[in-house]
Amino acid sequence: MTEITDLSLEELAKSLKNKQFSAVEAGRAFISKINRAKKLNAFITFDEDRLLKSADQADKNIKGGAASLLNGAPIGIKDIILTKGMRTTAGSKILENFVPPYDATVIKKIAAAGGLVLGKTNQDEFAMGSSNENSYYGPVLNPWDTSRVPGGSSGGSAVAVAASLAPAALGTDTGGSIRQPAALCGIVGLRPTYGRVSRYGVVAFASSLDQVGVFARNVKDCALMAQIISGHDALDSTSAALAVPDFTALASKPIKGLKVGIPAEYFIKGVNKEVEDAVRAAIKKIQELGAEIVEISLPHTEYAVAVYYVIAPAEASSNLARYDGVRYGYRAKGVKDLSELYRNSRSEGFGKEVKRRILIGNYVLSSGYYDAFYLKAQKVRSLVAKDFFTVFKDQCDVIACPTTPTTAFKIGEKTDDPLQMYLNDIFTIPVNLAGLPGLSVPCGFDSGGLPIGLQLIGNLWEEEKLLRTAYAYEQATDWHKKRPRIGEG
Amino acid sequence: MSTKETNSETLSLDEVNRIARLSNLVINEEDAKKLTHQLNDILGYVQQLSRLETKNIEPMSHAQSSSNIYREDSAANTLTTEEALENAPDRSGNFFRTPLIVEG
Repeated sequence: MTEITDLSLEELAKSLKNKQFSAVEAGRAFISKINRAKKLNAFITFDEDRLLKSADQADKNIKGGAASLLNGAPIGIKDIILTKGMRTTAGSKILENFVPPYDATVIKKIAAAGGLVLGKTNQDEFAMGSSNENSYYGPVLNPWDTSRVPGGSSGGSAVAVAASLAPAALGTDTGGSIRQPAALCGIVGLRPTYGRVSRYGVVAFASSLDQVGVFARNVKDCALMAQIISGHDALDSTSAALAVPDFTALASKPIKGLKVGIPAEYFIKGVNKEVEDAVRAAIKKIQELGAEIVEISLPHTEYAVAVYYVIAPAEASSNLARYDGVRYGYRAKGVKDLSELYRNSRSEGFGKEVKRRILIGNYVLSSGYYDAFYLKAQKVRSLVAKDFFTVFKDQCDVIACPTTPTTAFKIGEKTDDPLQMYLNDIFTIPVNLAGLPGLSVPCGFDSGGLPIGLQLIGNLWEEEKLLRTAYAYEQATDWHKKRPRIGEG
Repeated sequence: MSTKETNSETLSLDEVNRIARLSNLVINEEDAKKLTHQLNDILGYVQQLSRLETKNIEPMSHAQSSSNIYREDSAANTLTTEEALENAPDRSGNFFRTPLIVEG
Protein backbone atom coordinates (compact mmCIF):
# COMPACT_ATOMS: atom_id res chain seq x y z
CA MET A 1 0.00 0.00 0.00
CA THR A 2 1.09 3.55 -0.72
CA GLU A 3 2.28 5.35 2.39
CA ILE A 4 -0.29 7.72 3.87
CA THR A 5 1.99 10.68 3.25
CA ASP A 6 2.30 9.84 -0.45
CA LEU A 7 -1.45 9.75 -1.08
CA SER A 8 -2.97 12.56 -3.07
CA LEU A 9 -5.26 14.90 -1.15
CA GLU A 10 -8.28 13.37 -2.90
CA GLU A 11 -7.18 9.82 -1.97
CA LEU A 12 -6.36 10.88 1.58
CA ALA A 13 -9.77 12.50 2.13
CA LYS A 14 -11.49 9.45 0.64
CA SER A 15 -9.52 6.98 2.80
CA LEU A 16 -10.39 9.00 5.88
CA LYS A 17 -14.05 8.99 4.95
CA ASN A 18 -13.99 5.23 4.42
CA LYS A 19 -12.19 4.79 7.76
CA GLN A 20 -9.25 2.96 6.15
CA PHE A 21 -7.23 4.82 8.76
CA SER A 22 -8.07 7.59 11.19
CA ALA A 23 -7.18 11.27 11.00
CA VAL A 24 -5.01 10.71 14.09
CA GLU A 25 -3.11 7.96 12.25
CA ALA A 26 -2.70 10.24 9.25
CA GLY A 27 -1.51 13.04 11.57
CA ARG A 28 1.06 10.66 13.12
CA ALA A 29 2.29 9.64 9.66
CA PHE A 30 2.90 13.29 8.73
CA ILE A 31 4.53 14.03 12.10
CA SER A 32 6.93 11.14 11.64
CA LYS A 33 7.74 12.15 8.07
CA ILE A 34 8.26 15.81 8.99
CA ASN A 35 10.55 14.84 11.86
CA ARG A 36 12.65 12.70 9.52
CA ALA A 37 12.93 15.55 7.01
CA LYS A 38 13.81 18.29 9.49
CA LYS A 39 16.92 19.34 7.61
CA LEU A 40 14.75 20.66 4.75
CA ASN A 41 13.55 23.31 7.25
CA ALA A 42 10.12 23.46 5.59
CA PHE A 43 8.26 24.43 8.77
CA ILE A 44 8.70 27.37 11.13
CA THR A 45 6.08 26.26 13.65
CA PHE A 46 4.92 22.71 14.00
CA ASP A 47 2.79 21.70 17.00
CA GLU A 48 2.32 17.91 17.20
CA ASP A 49 -0.12 17.98 20.12
CA ARG A 50 -2.32 20.57 18.54
CA LEU A 51 -2.42 18.61 15.27
CA LEU A 52 -3.31 15.33 17.00
CA LYS A 53 -5.98 17.03 19.08
CA SER A 54 -7.65 18.50 16.01
CA ALA A 55 -7.28 15.14 14.22
CA ASP A 56 -9.02 13.43 17.11
CA GLN A 57 -11.91 15.87 16.78
CA ALA A 58 -12.04 15.17 13.03
CA ASP A 59 -12.28 11.44 13.74
CA LYS A 60 -15.18 12.07 16.08
CA ASN A 61 -16.91 14.08 13.37
CA ILE A 62 -16.43 11.27 10.84
CA LYS A 63 -17.75 8.70 13.33
CA GLY A 64 -20.75 10.93 13.83
CA GLY A 65 -21.38 10.65 10.10
CA ALA A 66 -20.34 14.21 9.23
CA ALA A 67 -18.55 13.78 5.90
CA SER A 68 -16.77 16.82 4.52
CA LEU A 69 -14.48 17.53 1.58
CA LEU A 70 -11.29 16.94 3.56
CA ASN A 71 -12.36 14.72 6.51
CA GLY A 72 -9.43 15.69 8.71
CA ALA A 73 -6.70 15.91 6.07
CA PRO A 74 -3.96 18.26 7.32
CA ILE A 75 -2.92 21.21 5.15
CA GLY A 76 0.39 23.10 5.26
CA ILE A 77 -0.11 26.83 5.86
CA LYS A 78 2.37 29.52 4.83
CA ASP A 79 3.40 31.41 7.93
CA ILE A 80 2.08 34.69 6.55
CA ILE A 81 -1.50 33.48 7.10
CA LEU A 82 -2.97 34.11 10.56
CA THR A 83 -3.88 31.07 12.65
CA LYS A 84 -5.70 31.73 15.90
CA GLY A 85 -3.65 30.65 18.88
CA MET A 86 -0.76 29.46 16.71
CA ARG A 87 2.34 31.61 16.25
CA THR A 88 2.45 33.44 12.91
CA THR A 89 5.81 35.03 12.07
CA ALA A 90 5.65 35.90 8.34
CA GLY A 91 9.27 34.69 8.33
CA SER A 92 10.32 37.74 10.34
CA LYS A 93 12.03 38.30 13.67
CA ILE A 94 9.66 41.21 14.24
CA LEU A 95 6.74 38.75 14.59
CA GLU A 96 8.73 36.00 16.32
CA ASN A 97 6.34 35.84 19.28
CA PHE A 98 3.12 36.95 17.58
CA VAL A 99 0.17 34.67 18.35
CA PRO A 100 -2.86 35.86 16.35
CA PRO A 101 -6.14 36.35 18.21
CA TYR A 102 -8.13 35.39 15.10
CA ASP A 103 -8.04 33.13 12.02
CA ALA A 104 -7.63 34.30 8.44
CA THR A 105 -10.74 33.69 6.32
CA VAL A 106 -8.93 30.98 4.31
CA ILE A 107 -8.19 29.10 7.55
CA LYS A 108 -11.88 29.24 8.48
CA LYS A 109 -12.78 27.96 5.02
CA ILE A 110 -10.37 25.03 5.31
CA ALA A 111 -11.81 24.20 8.74
CA ALA A 112 -15.34 24.38 7.33
CA ALA A 113 -14.27 21.86 4.67
CA GLY A 114 -12.97 19.53 7.40
CA GLY A 115 -9.28 20.33 6.88
CA LEU A 116 -6.71 20.76 9.67
CA VAL A 117 -3.78 23.10 10.08
CA LEU A 118 -0.75 20.82 9.68
CA GLY A 119 1.84 23.46 10.56
CA LYS A 120 3.20 26.84 9.55
CA THR A 121 5.58 26.71 6.61
CA ASN A 122 8.81 28.62 6.15
CA GLN A 123 9.00 31.58 3.80
CA ASP A 124 11.01 34.64 2.85
CA GLU A 125 10.46 37.43 5.36
CA PHE A 126 7.14 39.17 4.59
CA ALA A 127 7.11 37.16 1.31
CA MET A 128 9.96 39.27 -0.05
CA GLY A 129 12.23 36.94 -1.94
CA SER A 130 12.59 34.33 -4.65
CA SER A 131 14.76 31.77 -2.86
CA ASN A 132 13.56 31.48 0.74
CA GLU A 133 17.00 32.70 1.84
CA ASN A 134 15.44 35.81 3.39
CA SER A 135 13.76 33.89 6.19
CA TYR A 136 14.78 34.78 9.75
CA TYR A 137 14.25 31.08 10.47
CA GLY A 138 16.87 29.89 7.99
CA PRO A 139 16.76 28.80 4.36
CA VAL A 140 14.61 25.93 3.08
CA LEU A 141 16.41 23.25 1.07
CA ASN A 142 15.19 21.95 -2.28
CA PRO A 143 14.37 18.24 -1.84
CA TRP A 144 15.62 17.46 -5.38
CA ASP A 145 19.08 18.79 -4.52
CA THR A 146 19.64 20.09 -1.02
CA SER A 147 22.44 22.44 -2.12
CA ARG A 148 19.83 24.41 -4.06
CA VAL A 149 17.03 26.83 -3.21
CA PRO A 150 13.37 25.75 -3.41
CA GLY A 151 12.34 29.13 -4.79
CA GLY A 152 10.33 31.67 -2.85
CA SER A 153 8.75 33.24 -1.21
CA SER A 154 6.45 30.27 -0.38
CA GLY A 155 9.44 27.89 -0.30
CA GLY A 156 8.37 25.96 2.80
CA SER A 157 4.91 25.19 1.41
CA ALA A 158 6.36 24.06 -1.93
CA VAL A 159 8.94 21.79 -0.26
CA ALA A 160 6.40 20.36 2.20
CA VAL A 161 4.20 19.27 -0.71
CA ALA A 162 7.06 18.13 -2.98
CA ALA A 163 8.66 16.02 -0.22
CA SER A 164 5.28 14.55 0.88
CA LEU A 165 5.37 16.33 4.24
CA ALA A 166 1.90 17.69 3.40
CA PRO A 167 -0.73 16.60 0.86
CA ALA A 168 -1.35 20.24 -0.09
CA ALA A 169 -0.44 23.68 1.19
CA LEU A 170 -1.41 27.34 1.02
CA GLY A 171 0.93 30.03 -0.22
CA THR A 172 0.71 33.63 -1.32
CA ASP A 173 1.78 35.01 -4.70
CA THR A 174 2.65 38.70 -5.04
CA GLY A 175 5.18 38.41 -7.89
CA GLY A 176 5.39 34.66 -8.46
CA SER A 177 5.76 33.35 -4.90
CA ILE A 178 3.57 30.31 -5.61
CA ARG A 179 4.31 29.55 -9.26
CA GLN A 180 8.10 29.96 -9.05
CA PRO A 181 8.68 27.58 -6.09
CA ALA A 182 6.12 25.15 -7.57
CA ALA A 183 8.21 25.05 -10.76
CA LEU A 184 11.51 24.69 -8.89
CA CYS A 185 10.12 21.89 -6.70
CA GLY A 186 8.25 19.93 -9.39
CA ILE A 187 4.66 20.39 -8.16
CA VAL A 188 1.49 22.22 -9.20
CA GLY A 189 0.95 25.77 -7.95
CA LEU A 190 -2.04 28.00 -8.62
CA ARG A 191 -2.34 31.72 -8.06
CA PRO A 192 -6.02 32.57 -8.54
CA THR A 193 -7.34 35.81 -10.01
CA TYR A 194 -6.83 38.83 -7.74
CA GLY A 195 -10.03 39.03 -5.68
CA ARG A 196 -10.94 35.34 -6.01
CA VAL A 197 -9.65 34.53 -2.52
CA SER A 198 -10.03 36.67 0.60
CA ARG A 199 -6.87 38.31 1.94
CA TYR A 200 -8.43 38.90 5.37
CA GLY A 201 -5.97 37.75 8.00
CA VAL A 202 -3.05 37.53 5.59
CA VAL A 203 -0.07 39.70 6.56
CA ALA A 204 0.04 42.42 3.90
CA PHE A 205 3.05 42.85 1.61
CA ALA A 206 1.80 44.66 -1.53
CA SER A 207 -1.96 44.91 -1.31
CA SER A 208 -2.72 45.47 -5.00
CA LEU A 209 -0.71 42.36 -5.96
CA ASP A 210 -1.03 39.85 -3.07
CA GLN A 211 -3.21 36.79 -3.54
CA VAL A 212 -3.55 33.52 -1.62
CA GLY A 213 -3.23 30.32 -3.64
CA VAL A 214 -2.43 26.64 -3.40
CA PHE A 215 0.18 23.93 -3.91
CA ALA A 216 -0.54 20.26 -4.59
CA ARG A 217 1.12 17.29 -6.26
CA ASN A 218 -1.53 17.05 -8.96
CA VAL A 219 -3.96 19.33 -10.75
CA LYS A 220 -7.17 17.86 -9.32
CA ASP A 221 -5.96 18.41 -5.75
CA CYS A 222 -5.03 21.94 -6.67
CA ALA A 223 -8.54 22.49 -8.07
CA LEU A 224 -10.10 21.08 -4.90
CA MET A 225 -8.07 23.36 -2.63
CA ALA A 226 -8.79 26.39 -4.83
CA GLN A 227 -12.48 25.64 -4.61
CA ILE A 228 -12.34 25.41 -0.83
CA ILE A 229 -10.57 28.73 -0.24
CA SER A 230 -12.27 30.85 -2.95
CA GLY A 231 -15.26 33.12 -2.53
CA HIS A 232 -16.46 36.53 -1.48
CA ASP A 233 -15.66 37.76 2.02
CA ALA A 234 -17.29 40.81 3.54
CA LEU A 235 -14.08 41.31 5.54
CA ASP A 236 -12.02 41.89 2.36
CA SER A 237 -13.56 44.61 0.22
CA THR A 238 -11.34 43.60 -2.73
CA SER A 239 -12.69 40.05 -2.78
CA ALA A 240 -15.12 39.58 -5.65
CA ALA A 241 -18.81 38.89 -5.17
CA LEU A 242 -18.77 36.06 -7.69
CA ALA A 243 -19.97 32.47 -7.40
CA VAL A 244 -17.14 29.94 -7.12
CA PRO A 245 -17.15 27.54 -10.07
CA ASP A 246 -16.86 23.79 -9.50
CA PHE A 247 -13.14 23.74 -10.29
CA THR A 248 -12.71 19.98 -9.74
CA ALA A 249 -15.48 19.06 -12.17
CA LEU A 250 -14.41 21.63 -14.75
CA ALA A 251 -10.77 20.51 -14.68
CA SER A 252 -11.57 17.30 -16.55
CA LYS A 253 -13.40 18.98 -19.44
CA PRO A 254 -11.61 18.36 -22.78
CA ILE A 255 -9.32 21.03 -24.22
CA LYS A 256 -10.18 20.45 -27.86
CA GLY A 257 -10.47 23.76 -29.64
CA LEU A 258 -8.97 25.76 -26.78
CA LYS A 259 -6.66 28.43 -28.15
CA VAL A 260 -3.25 28.50 -26.47
CA GLY A 261 -1.12 31.59 -27.10
CA ILE A 262 2.68 31.42 -27.15
CA PRO A 263 4.20 34.83 -26.36
CA ALA A 264 7.45 35.51 -28.25
CA GLU A 265 8.68 37.71 -25.36
CA TYR A 266 8.88 34.70 -23.01
CA PHE A 267 11.34 32.79 -25.20
CA ILE A 268 14.29 35.13 -25.05
CA LYS A 269 18.03 35.10 -24.43
CA GLY A 270 18.65 34.22 -20.83
CA VAL A 271 16.18 31.35 -20.78
CA ASN A 272 18.06 28.12 -20.17
CA LYS A 273 18.05 25.87 -23.26
CA GLU A 274 16.79 22.82 -21.38
CA VAL A 275 13.96 24.85 -19.86
CA GLU A 276 12.97 26.19 -23.28
CA ASP A 277 13.09 22.72 -24.86
CA ALA A 278 10.92 21.20 -22.13
CA VAL A 279 8.36 24.01 -22.37
CA ARG A 280 8.22 23.78 -26.17
CA ALA A 281 7.75 20.00 -25.94
CA ALA A 282 4.91 20.55 -23.47
CA ILE A 283 3.24 23.00 -25.84
CA LYS A 284 3.51 20.44 -28.65
CA LYS A 285 1.87 17.87 -26.38
CA ILE A 286 -0.97 20.26 -25.59
CA GLN A 287 -1.43 20.76 -29.33
CA GLU A 288 -1.62 16.98 -29.87
CA LEU A 289 -4.31 16.88 -27.19
CA GLY A 290 -6.51 19.07 -29.37
CA ALA A 291 -5.66 22.66 -28.47
CA GLU A 292 -4.92 25.20 -31.15
CA ILE A 293 -1.53 26.93 -30.83
CA VAL A 294 -1.29 30.59 -31.81
CA GLU A 295 1.71 32.93 -31.80
CA ILE A 296 1.07 36.06 -29.76
CA SER A 297 2.97 39.12 -28.59
CA LEU A 298 3.02 40.81 -25.17
CA PRO A 299 5.29 43.71 -26.09
CA HIS A 300 5.64 45.34 -22.65
CA THR A 301 6.87 42.18 -20.90
CA GLU A 302 10.42 43.49 -20.57
CA TYR A 303 9.23 46.40 -18.41
CA ALA A 304 7.32 44.31 -15.88
CA VAL A 305 10.18 43.73 -13.42
CA ALA A 306 10.99 47.45 -13.36
CA VAL A 307 7.32 48.31 -12.74
CA TYR A 308 7.09 45.70 -9.99
CA TYR A 309 10.18 46.94 -8.15
CA VAL A 310 8.61 50.37 -7.85
CA ILE A 311 5.03 49.38 -7.01
CA ALA A 312 5.63 46.42 -4.68
CA PRO A 313 8.20 48.25 -2.46
CA ALA A 314 6.00 51.37 -2.44
CA GLU A 315 3.03 49.41 -1.13
CA ALA A 316 5.27 47.41 1.22
CA SER A 317 6.81 50.52 2.77
CA SER A 318 3.32 51.74 3.64
CA ASN A 319 2.08 48.36 4.87
CA LEU A 320 5.16 47.79 7.02
CA ALA A 321 4.90 51.19 8.71
CA ARG A 322 2.60 49.49 11.24
CA TYR A 323 5.49 47.58 12.81
CA ASP A 324 6.52 50.01 15.51
CA GLY A 325 6.94 47.87 18.61
CA VAL A 326 3.90 49.34 20.35
CA ARG A 327 0.86 47.09 19.94
CA TYR A 328 2.39 43.76 18.92
CA GLY A 329 5.63 42.36 17.58
CA TYR A 330 9.23 42.89 18.59
CA ARG A 331 10.09 45.79 20.91
CA ALA A 332 13.69 46.98 21.31
CA LYS A 333 15.06 47.18 24.82
CA GLY A 334 16.70 50.12 26.62
CA VAL A 335 15.24 52.99 24.60
CA LYS A 336 14.96 56.51 25.95
CA ASP A 337 11.89 57.77 24.12
CA LEU A 338 9.14 56.79 21.71
CA SER A 339 10.93 57.70 18.48
CA GLU A 340 13.91 55.60 19.51
CA LEU A 341 11.50 52.78 20.31
CA TYR A 342 10.14 52.92 16.76
CA ARG A 343 13.57 53.15 15.13
CA ASN A 344 15.28 50.48 17.17
CA SER A 345 12.39 48.03 17.10
CA ARG A 346 12.20 48.26 13.30
CA SER A 347 15.96 48.22 12.77
CA GLU A 348 16.47 45.17 15.01
CA GLY A 349 13.28 43.41 13.88
CA PHE A 350 13.45 43.64 10.07
CA GLY A 351 15.93 41.72 7.91
CA LYS A 352 18.13 43.11 5.12
CA GLU A 353 15.83 42.56 2.14
CA VAL A 354 12.84 44.02 3.95
CA LYS A 355 14.83 47.14 4.84
CA ARG A 356 16.03 47.41 1.25
CA ARG A 357 12.46 47.38 -0.02
CA ILE A 358 11.22 49.84 2.59
CA LEU A 359 13.97 52.23 1.47
CA ILE A 360 13.14 51.82 -2.22
CA GLY A 361 9.45 52.26 -1.46
CA ASN A 362 9.85 55.38 0.59
CA TYR A 363 12.24 56.82 -1.99
CA VAL A 364 9.90 56.34 -4.96
CA LEU A 365 7.00 57.77 -2.96
CA SER A 366 8.94 60.76 -1.67
CA SER A 367 8.40 64.29 -2.80
CA GLY A 368 10.20 65.02 -6.07
CA TYR A 369 10.42 61.37 -7.16
CA TYR A 370 6.77 60.34 -7.02
CA ASP A 371 5.94 61.28 -10.61
CA ALA A 372 9.18 60.01 -12.12
CA PHE A 373 9.02 56.62 -10.41
CA TYR A 374 5.69 55.74 -8.82
CA LEU A 375 3.27 57.38 -11.23
CA LYS A 376 5.37 56.28 -14.20
CA ALA A 377 5.35 52.67 -12.96
CA GLN A 378 1.58 52.76 -12.51
CA LYS A 379 1.17 53.96 -16.09
CA VAL A 380 3.43 51.24 -17.46
CA ARG A 381 1.50 48.76 -15.32
CA SER A 382 -1.54 49.73 -17.42
CA LEU A 383 0.41 48.91 -20.58
CA VAL A 384 1.56 45.52 -19.27
CA ALA A 385 -2.03 44.65 -18.30
CA LYS A 386 -3.42 45.90 -21.61
CA ASP A 387 -1.11 43.52 -23.50
CA PHE A 388 -2.85 40.59 -21.81
CA PHE A 389 -6.38 41.89 -22.23
CA THR A 390 -5.73 42.51 -25.94
CA VAL A 391 -4.70 38.91 -26.63
CA PHE A 392 -7.42 37.41 -24.42
CA LYS A 393 -10.03 39.45 -26.30
CA ASP A 394 -9.74 37.63 -29.58
CA GLN A 395 -6.48 35.71 -29.96
CA CYS A 396 -6.30 33.04 -27.27
CA ASP A 397 -7.91 31.50 -24.16
CA VAL A 398 -4.77 30.57 -22.30
CA ILE A 399 -1.10 31.59 -22.53
CA ALA A 400 1.67 28.99 -22.21
CA CYS A 401 5.29 29.85 -21.40
CA PRO A 402 8.11 29.00 -18.98
CA THR A 403 7.45 29.71 -15.28
CA THR A 404 11.12 30.54 -14.66
CA PRO A 405 14.11 31.20 -16.92
CA THR A 406 16.23 28.55 -15.14
CA THR A 407 15.87 25.58 -12.80
CA ALA A 408 16.70 25.87 -9.08
CA PHE A 409 19.91 27.81 -8.41
CA LYS A 410 22.49 27.21 -5.67
CA ILE A 411 21.93 28.51 -2.16
CA GLY A 412 23.99 31.68 -1.79
CA GLU A 413 24.39 32.17 -5.56
CA LYS A 414 22.37 35.40 -5.84
CA THR A 415 22.22 36.72 -2.29
CA ASP A 416 24.73 39.53 -2.87
CA ASP A 417 23.06 40.80 -6.02
CA PRO A 418 19.42 41.71 -5.35
CA LEU A 419 18.82 42.80 -8.94
CA GLN A 420 19.85 39.38 -10.32
CA MET A 421 17.54 37.79 -7.76
CA TYR A 422 14.65 40.02 -8.88
CA LEU A 423 15.16 39.11 -12.54
CA ASN A 424 14.44 35.49 -11.71
CA ASP A 425 10.76 36.51 -11.52
CA ILE A 426 10.63 38.02 -15.00
CA PHE A 427 7.96 35.58 -16.27
CA THR A 428 5.74 35.49 -13.21
CA ILE A 429 5.53 39.20 -12.32
CA PRO A 430 3.43 40.36 -15.34
CA VAL A 431 0.53 38.16 -14.16
CA ASN A 432 0.40 39.92 -10.78
CA LEU A 433 0.52 43.37 -12.34
CA ALA A 434 -2.54 42.52 -14.43
CA GLY A 435 -4.33 40.65 -11.60
CA LEU A 436 -4.62 37.45 -13.65
CA PRO A 437 -4.67 33.80 -12.58
CA GLY A 438 -1.52 31.76 -13.27
CA LEU A 439 -0.55 28.16 -12.76
CA SER A 440 2.69 26.19 -12.91
CA VAL A 441 2.62 22.49 -13.78
CA PRO A 442 5.64 20.14 -13.97
CA CYS A 443 6.83 19.63 -17.56
CA GLY A 444 10.18 17.87 -17.26
CA PHE A 445 13.62 17.81 -15.69
CA ASP A 446 16.97 19.24 -16.71
CA SER A 447 20.07 17.05 -17.13
CA GLY A 448 20.86 17.56 -13.43
CA GLY A 449 17.49 16.08 -12.44
CA LEU A 450 15.94 19.42 -11.43
CA PRO A 451 12.25 20.05 -12.17
CA ILE A 452 11.01 22.45 -14.88
CA GLY A 453 7.64 24.22 -14.80
CA LEU A 454 5.22 25.14 -17.56
CA GLN A 455 3.32 28.33 -16.76
CA LEU A 456 -0.27 28.78 -17.91
CA ILE A 457 -1.85 32.23 -17.70
CA GLY A 458 -5.56 32.92 -18.04
CA ASN A 459 -7.95 35.81 -18.33
CA LEU A 460 -9.61 37.24 -15.21
CA TRP A 461 -11.81 34.64 -13.43
CA GLU A 462 -10.80 31.91 -15.89
CA GLU A 463 -8.84 29.62 -13.54
CA GLU A 464 -10.97 26.83 -14.96
CA LYS A 465 -9.21 27.01 -18.35
CA LEU A 466 -5.80 26.79 -16.67
CA LEU A 467 -6.83 23.80 -14.60
CA ARG A 468 -8.36 22.14 -17.66
CA THR A 469 -5.22 22.61 -19.78
CA ALA A 470 -2.93 21.52 -16.95
CA TYR A 471 -5.05 18.48 -16.16
CA ALA A 472 -5.16 17.29 -19.78
CA TYR A 473 -1.39 17.72 -20.03
CA GLU A 474 -0.75 16.01 -16.69
CA GLN A 475 -2.89 13.02 -17.65
CA ALA A 476 -0.86 12.61 -20.83
CA THR A 477 2.52 12.79 -19.07
CA ASP A 478 4.31 11.23 -16.09
CA TRP A 479 6.24 14.18 -14.67
CA HIS A 480 3.99 14.58 -11.65
CA LYS A 481 4.58 10.96 -10.63
CA LYS A 482 8.31 11.49 -10.07
CA ARG A 483 9.13 12.34 -6.47
CA PRO A 484 12.39 13.46 -4.92
CA ARG A 485 14.33 10.94 -2.84
CA ILE A 486 15.21 12.99 0.18
CA GLY A 487 18.13 11.99 2.34
CA GLU A 488 16.26 11.60 5.62
CA GLY A 489 17.85 11.91 9.01
CA MET B 1 17.58 40.34 -19.36
CA SER B 2 20.42 42.80 -19.29
CA THR B 3 21.04 44.56 -16.03
CA LYS B 4 23.24 47.14 -17.72
CA GLU B 5 20.74 49.93 -17.79
CA THR B 6 21.64 53.59 -17.40
CA ASN B 7 22.93 52.93 -13.87
CA SER B 8 23.79 56.54 -13.24
CA GLU B 9 24.34 57.31 -9.58
CA THR B 10 20.80 58.51 -8.86
CA LEU B 11 21.09 58.18 -5.13
CA SER B 12 23.86 59.56 -2.92
CA LEU B 13 24.93 58.16 0.44
CA ASP B 14 23.39 61.22 2.12
CA GLU B 15 20.08 60.55 0.44
CA VAL B 16 20.10 56.91 1.54
CA ASN B 17 20.62 58.11 5.10
CA ARG B 18 17.81 60.64 4.71
CA ILE B 19 15.39 57.98 3.40
CA ALA B 20 16.43 55.66 6.23
CA ARG B 21 15.54 58.39 8.74
CA LEU B 22 12.17 58.90 7.04
CA SER B 23 11.62 55.13 7.22
CA ASN B 24 12.43 55.01 10.95
CA LEU B 25 15.40 52.75 10.29
CA VAL B 26 18.90 53.04 11.71
CA ILE B 27 21.56 51.92 9.26
CA ASN B 28 25.25 51.72 10.06
CA GLU B 29 27.82 53.33 7.80
CA GLU B 30 29.02 50.12 6.17
CA ASP B 31 25.48 48.95 5.36
CA ALA B 32 24.56 52.40 4.08
CA LYS B 33 27.43 52.26 1.56
CA LYS B 34 26.43 48.81 0.36
CA LEU B 35 22.77 49.85 0.18
CA THR B 36 23.63 52.96 -1.82
CA HIS B 37 25.29 50.76 -4.41
CA GLN B 38 22.43 48.22 -4.48
CA LEU B 39 19.67 50.84 -4.60
CA ASN B 40 21.42 52.59 -7.46
CA ASP B 41 21.59 49.30 -9.32
CA ILE B 42 17.88 48.74 -8.83
CA LEU B 43 16.81 52.32 -9.57
CA GLY B 44 19.13 52.35 -12.59
CA TYR B 45 17.33 49.29 -13.89
CA VAL B 46 13.96 50.91 -13.15
CA GLN B 47 14.92 53.95 -15.19
CA GLN B 48 14.31 51.98 -18.40
CA LEU B 49 10.66 52.92 -17.85
CA SER B 50 11.48 56.46 -18.97
CA ARG B 51 12.00 55.10 -22.51
CA LEU B 52 8.23 54.63 -22.82
CA GLU B 53 5.91 57.45 -23.80
CA THR B 54 3.03 57.40 -21.30
CA LYS B 55 1.53 60.87 -21.59
CA ASN B 56 -2.01 59.70 -22.29
CA ILE B 57 -1.93 56.48 -20.30
CA GLU B 58 -4.08 56.15 -17.18
CA PRO B 59 -2.16 54.98 -14.10
CA MET B 60 -3.24 51.58 -12.79
CA SER B 61 -3.37 51.62 -9.02
CA HIS B 62 -5.13 48.35 -8.46
CA ALA B 63 -5.62 44.97 -10.11
CA GLN B 64 -9.30 45.59 -10.46
CA SER B 65 -11.35 48.67 -10.86
CA SER B 66 -13.33 48.99 -7.69
CA SER B 67 -15.53 51.47 -5.98
CA ASN B 68 -16.37 52.07 -2.36
CA ILE B 69 -18.21 49.26 -0.68
CA TYR B 70 -20.65 50.17 2.06
CA ARG B 71 -22.32 48.23 4.80
CA GLU B 72 -24.83 48.95 7.49
CA ASP B 73 -23.34 50.67 10.53
CA SER B 74 -24.31 47.95 12.95
CA ALA B 75 -22.70 46.52 16.05
CA ALA B 76 -20.91 43.19 15.75
CA ASN B 77 -18.65 41.04 17.87
CA THR B 78 -15.03 41.77 17.04
CA LEU B 79 -11.84 41.41 19.07
CA THR B 80 -12.26 41.89 22.79
CA THR B 81 -10.02 44.36 24.61
CA GLU B 82 -8.17 41.44 26.16
CA GLU B 83 -7.58 39.82 22.76
CA ALA B 84 -6.40 43.10 21.27
CA LEU B 85 -3.90 43.50 24.11
CA GLU B 86 -2.71 39.89 24.10
CA ASN B 87 0.34 40.60 21.97
CA ALA B 88 1.29 43.91 23.55
CA PRO B 89 4.99 44.06 24.43
CA ASP B 90 4.02 46.16 27.44
CA ARG B 91 0.67 47.16 28.87
CA SER B 92 -0.88 48.93 31.79
CA GLY B 93 -4.45 47.92 32.47
CA ASN B 94 -6.34 48.29 29.24
CA PHE B 95 -3.64 50.41 27.59
CA PHE B 96 -0.53 49.82 25.53
CA ARG B 97 2.40 51.23 27.49
CA THR B 98 5.25 53.08 25.73
CA PRO B 99 8.25 55.06 26.96
CA LEU B 100 7.87 58.77 27.60
CA ILE B 101 6.33 60.66 24.68
CA VAL B 102 6.27 64.25 25.96
CA GLU B 103 8.26 65.67 28.85
CA GLY B 104 5.68 66.67 31.41
